[in-house]
Amino acid sequence: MNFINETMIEEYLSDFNELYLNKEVISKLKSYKEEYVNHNDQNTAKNIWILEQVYKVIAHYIKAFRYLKQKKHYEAWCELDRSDIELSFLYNHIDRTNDKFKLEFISQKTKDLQLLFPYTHFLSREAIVQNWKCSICGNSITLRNRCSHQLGEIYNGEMCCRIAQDMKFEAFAIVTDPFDKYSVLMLGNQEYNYAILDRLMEVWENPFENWRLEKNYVIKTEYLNLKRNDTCPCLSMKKYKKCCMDTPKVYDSNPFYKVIFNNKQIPKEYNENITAGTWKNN
Amino acid sequence: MKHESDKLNEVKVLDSNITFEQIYKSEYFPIELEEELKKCDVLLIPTLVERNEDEHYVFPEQTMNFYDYAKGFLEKEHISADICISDKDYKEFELHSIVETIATIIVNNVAFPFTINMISSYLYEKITNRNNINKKIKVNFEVVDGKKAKKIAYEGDASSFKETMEAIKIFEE
Ligand SMILES: [Zn+2]
Ligand SMILES: [Zn+2]
Repeated sequence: MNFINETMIEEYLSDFNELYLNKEVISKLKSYKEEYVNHNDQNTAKNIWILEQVYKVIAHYIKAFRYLKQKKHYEAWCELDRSDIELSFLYNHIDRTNDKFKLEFISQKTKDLQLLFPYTHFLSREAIVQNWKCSICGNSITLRNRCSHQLGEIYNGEMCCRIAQDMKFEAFAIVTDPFDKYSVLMLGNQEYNYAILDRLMEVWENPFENWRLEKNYVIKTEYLNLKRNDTCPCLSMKKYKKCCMDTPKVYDSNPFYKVIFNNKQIPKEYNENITAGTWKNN
Repeated sequence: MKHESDKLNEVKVLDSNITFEQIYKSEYFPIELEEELKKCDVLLIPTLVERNEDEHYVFPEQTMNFYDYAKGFLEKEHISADICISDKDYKEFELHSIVETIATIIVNNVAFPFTINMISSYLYEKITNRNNINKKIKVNFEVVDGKKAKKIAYEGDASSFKETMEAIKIFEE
């Protein structure tokens, strides 16, 4: 495809539903942006920054899809995280009700996929930071002394961020709900169980094809096959019907997920007998 | 499976004996800003962390942005707010946690409702801008009323903050 202006690229990105993006887009956008910045057309330069971000969000997302097809799970996980981070930069600058680039779809699929990964523990870095610089003008920033650039705003087609100059790493902590999702804790002697993802990837043909997750809870074994007047297994000494019956207490607190494709015939056994533990063979 | 955080919204009200005077005498108090800081009804104060046998007075990450927001918002209500540290001693402690911690605030009881409004609108803007409706937050307050003081600790959903805080009675004997 031969792009002649940014409007063509915008159309290309909003219609995009393939596995590979045209790499030419990036260099084209860069040169258009330079031109607008030279003419001090801040608005158009900002719109091109938006297209660059959209490109990155889509690029990381489809790369994650391709990695999943190749069973490179951890690599896919990191790409999904990158896609999500690039998307979070965009949210301040776009109208989310008009989703012409399918960003809401990508965001939803990213969340769904993350739920299907077996990762539970992450390394989280603690650090003490002092001294920042503005990424736009390079001036140093202190509490009461700032340049005129606002964090997260777009100047000359670039987003203003703060660059930490002086960072002291203090410690690592193991956490279950990290901000940096790439730091998955890997244990040498154990292998993660990706069975659900692998099963999904057998059926999911295109990264822009939709499916949804159905959240289910399993009844705990001690609550199986109880009659209403049985003594409740929770040791309350009450009758089941007057105690835990019809309450969330009877369910295991970890949900399991079923993948549902709306417009597609998939084999019946598809959603059955999937082992959903964190680790392989346990 | 990835576990979804299900910690309930929790607010604790504890007795405290902190005063503004104690803050003015603390080792991190910037003498050169004494005049301005002593006028304030709302002050962001640091917490002490010990790591590798070093002690640091630190603020949670993003406090610089929160400081701008707090000062601007409260000024419109004619309340003076500031941060109790010099520029050169200002440090952020990065935890990279999904839970957003907000700097500890010492506040005169009269300014407390405005402070709640300020934080809830800060959270609202953050939440709508970001891709995260289930954001968890942590905030600590030291609320001072004459000679009495209470420590208030909130941990839970950003979206329930305002409602939860407005429901509590602090200085009820
Ligand atoms: Zn600047
Ligand atoms: Zn029971």
